[in-house]
Amino acid sequence: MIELQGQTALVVGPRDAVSVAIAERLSAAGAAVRAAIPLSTVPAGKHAAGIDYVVGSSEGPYTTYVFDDSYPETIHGDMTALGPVDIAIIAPSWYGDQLFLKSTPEDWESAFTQNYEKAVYIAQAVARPMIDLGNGGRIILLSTVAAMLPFIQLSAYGASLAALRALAKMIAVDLGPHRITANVVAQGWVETERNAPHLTPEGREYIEAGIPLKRVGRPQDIANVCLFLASDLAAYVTGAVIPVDGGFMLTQSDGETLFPPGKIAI
Amino acid sequence: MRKMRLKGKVALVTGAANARSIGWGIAEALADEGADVVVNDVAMADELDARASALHAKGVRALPIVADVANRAQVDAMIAQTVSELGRLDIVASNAGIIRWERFLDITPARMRQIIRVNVLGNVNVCQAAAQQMIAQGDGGRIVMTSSVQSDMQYPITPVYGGTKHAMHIFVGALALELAPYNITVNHIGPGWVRSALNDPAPDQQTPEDLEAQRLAVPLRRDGKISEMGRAVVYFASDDGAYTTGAFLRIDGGLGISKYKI
Repeated sequence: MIELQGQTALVVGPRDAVSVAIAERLSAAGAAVRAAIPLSTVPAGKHAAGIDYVVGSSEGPYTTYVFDDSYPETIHGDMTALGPVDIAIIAPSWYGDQLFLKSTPEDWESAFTQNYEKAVYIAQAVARPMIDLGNGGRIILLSTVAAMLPFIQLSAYGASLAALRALAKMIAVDLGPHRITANVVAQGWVETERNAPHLTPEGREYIEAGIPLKRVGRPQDIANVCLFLASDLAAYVTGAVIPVDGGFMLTQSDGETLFPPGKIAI
Repeated sequence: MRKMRLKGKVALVTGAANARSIGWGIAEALADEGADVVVNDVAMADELDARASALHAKGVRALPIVADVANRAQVDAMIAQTVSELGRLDIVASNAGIIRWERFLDITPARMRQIIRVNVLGNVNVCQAAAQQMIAQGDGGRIVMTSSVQSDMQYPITPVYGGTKHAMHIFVGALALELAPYNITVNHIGPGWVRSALNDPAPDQQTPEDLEAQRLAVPLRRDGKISEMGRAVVYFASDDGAYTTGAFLRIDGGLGISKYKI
């Protein structure tokens, strides 16, 4: 059993099946978990800003906040106000699929602002108390196989998350002496709301044919690797990228066939 | 003796105003093989004029164009002027880039924005506008981007620069796949230590001792020449590189498989 008793964890990112699974998994392992949802990813009018604002009812043993991600200063302020943590897991806020020739400068602007720049601010904010407290720390960046291999529909998404590999290496090198590790989890196909339109019976069959383990990933698969990286078992792992994709990257040989044909117009 | 492999081709090189820049090394190398060359930079109009004159002296057509690659309207105008005055666009060396030095905890939003603006959005604008022109022309094209040995090798005092260069593998790869049906190849070069104007302010290369330590950190024991970067671009741009796409070529004296001086 992996034990995180006495540890505090922060899961930052839009609320989705993966972030919920991670929060639940770390909580079940004994960590005190805070989930922080960027305000920009909350449907308009649904919630007010404020880091004390609890989303819905308290979900089980972890607390959810909405934080103001409008500016670097507000991100830094709200992250700091949430208090020091031992473990921080940072998920991207922007997704887009479009051919490069159909992408707009705004797509690229959003991709890098939401997926890379914000991750830098959040990582800086959580790292400083880790250094001051001197107990080490774990920073885990959620990424995608599209940041490891090129896909024509995912150039902006993939490129913005490829930059996170550099961030993980950077933190690993600079903060290693403080026993702070930084690693990347590259997700493949996962059962999420976003992927649901592709996962019709025919779509699922198409996708699973290209995955050696013959199934789409579950949010728990991602959460389990995050748990490993957060735990003592991964104390000597830093600057690494761990694909959690059922082997998908190994068989994807044609960039045009990422999505099942016919379902989503690009 | 040059084989004039690029005679009749029109090339655009961004970030080429400074005579000690990789962009200029690329422009000269392309012109030496017979290409007509547009030299671009965000400012330095007088320098661009001087570069264009030097290219004229090689017997090719040359055009200086000032444009901010992060400004899409200016990039579109630059491509339009290129086509209007030189007839077509065959080769683009999307080379313009900036660098800042600081450690991870000292990254500021303003500096990060500057780097992403030029190194990411600048490449997007130039490559998109150029690709659209090449597709309209209908007989292929060559796009070569300047990334860096830092596409794979993370250097501690250039965190954001390194981030934008790590992103280049995906950017170049995705473009290579998408533009292949149009016979447009897309590749990137990875310079290592080049004593270009860009690197003059590098805080760890200011003393003779620093420079000597840097030199010894390179397996081939010297800095790279801008002409060497240029000749790699010639490979990708010429018929020699017709079957190469989505590739990354380090021209770094072996630095990428060695260790930085710390």
